[in-house]
Amino acid sequence: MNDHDQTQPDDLLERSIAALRDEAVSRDPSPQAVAGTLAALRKAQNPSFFQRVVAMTLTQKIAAAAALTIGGAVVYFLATLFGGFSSISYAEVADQIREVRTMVCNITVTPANSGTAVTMRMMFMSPDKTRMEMPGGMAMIMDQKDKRSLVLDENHKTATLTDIKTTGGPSARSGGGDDDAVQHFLDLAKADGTPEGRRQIGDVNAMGFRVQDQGQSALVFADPKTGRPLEIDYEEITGVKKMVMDDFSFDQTLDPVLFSMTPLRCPVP
Amino acid sequence: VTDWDSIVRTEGPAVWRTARRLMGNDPDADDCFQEAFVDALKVSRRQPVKSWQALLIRLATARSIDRLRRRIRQGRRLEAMNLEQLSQTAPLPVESAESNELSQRLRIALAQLPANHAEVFCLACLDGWSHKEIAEQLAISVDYVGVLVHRAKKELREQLAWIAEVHK
Repeated sequence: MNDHDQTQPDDLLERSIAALRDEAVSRDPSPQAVAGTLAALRKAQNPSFFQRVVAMTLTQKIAAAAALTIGGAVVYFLATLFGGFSSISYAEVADQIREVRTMVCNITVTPANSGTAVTMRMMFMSPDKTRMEMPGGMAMIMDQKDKRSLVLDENHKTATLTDIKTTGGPSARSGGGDDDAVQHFLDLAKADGTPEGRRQIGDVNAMGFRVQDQGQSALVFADPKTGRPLEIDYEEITGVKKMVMDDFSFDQTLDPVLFSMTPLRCPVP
Repeated sequence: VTDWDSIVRTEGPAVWRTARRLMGNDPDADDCFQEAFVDALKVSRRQPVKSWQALLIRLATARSIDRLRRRIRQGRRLEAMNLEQLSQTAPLPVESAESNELSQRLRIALAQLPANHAEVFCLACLDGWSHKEIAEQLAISVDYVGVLVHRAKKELREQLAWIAEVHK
């Protein structure tokens, strides 16, 4: 047992801050890290439109200006005709994902070994609480912090509390499994996305992005006005033929009772 | 045209130290280092950059926090709390070992915070930025920075107490 475990929390925090702040980190980045970073920057640094314009001859600039004028008029006409559209980069979508505090959505999973799709309602409260409501009156609450899950079965009136850290399941998040929907969603903020068309979702002309991360492929459709995902189609997830997340609602206030690991006591008739 | 070679050479050491301190190991720090620069390139396309150093340190902090949170989410919390697995291989003097343990516990606790709380806390308490500097960099009010730092400290105290309890 260490002495500092006996200290008051306030003191512990200040000492921990001092320890981390004063930790000796004298070494510069390795030559490999610098070289890798410069290579990544070169790859990401495609010449911008304006850089290309600067490099043009006068004749090319006049031709480009004429083309842009005509093109602009066509775009304006189409935008006026069809109610307009806007655009967004994947970096902005990733920013929105990174900032998510609470999330409610539908998850439709088609297992690899059967063609029957199952739709669940998922609620997530950052950083570590998840509730999945499944068909047939079952719900599963997972607490990543305390490493526990609670399965509520409405039909059999049972509540099963499981210690995840000892069983390795049922929470995929706790084990970092491939079927962890929340982790898959949060990982999208870490990856790069390339534009891949548009799709009409409700009354929104959503922008599509193809995202590849650690061998996993996802198609993210985002609202071009807010940058928030409207639908995410996953492929190539272990044990799952297809997984679709949609009907999103972000950062609404969720009742903490929904994530309580203590089953409510029912009145005895 | 942005001279990235020059920026990496000039700002690289400070950015790397920021990432290395939060991650506690070289491989993760190297990844965060690279991500911070690539993210800075993306930011520079959207808006003019007043201070490369400030932007890069903020991004390195944010990427490091992301990685810490991810590490914990992947179920490695208990593994991370195994203090035998700290980076050093040779036995340390008692004081160094204690400091190392405190640092590691603070990293674990930071990973439990909401990302914006953790980021503001690191900039204020580890990098020594003023609330005004943080507010300018994150485009939020100075008062809100104070609120976030206060909340972060409160949450960290709870987390550290919990971790200490587990290790009793």
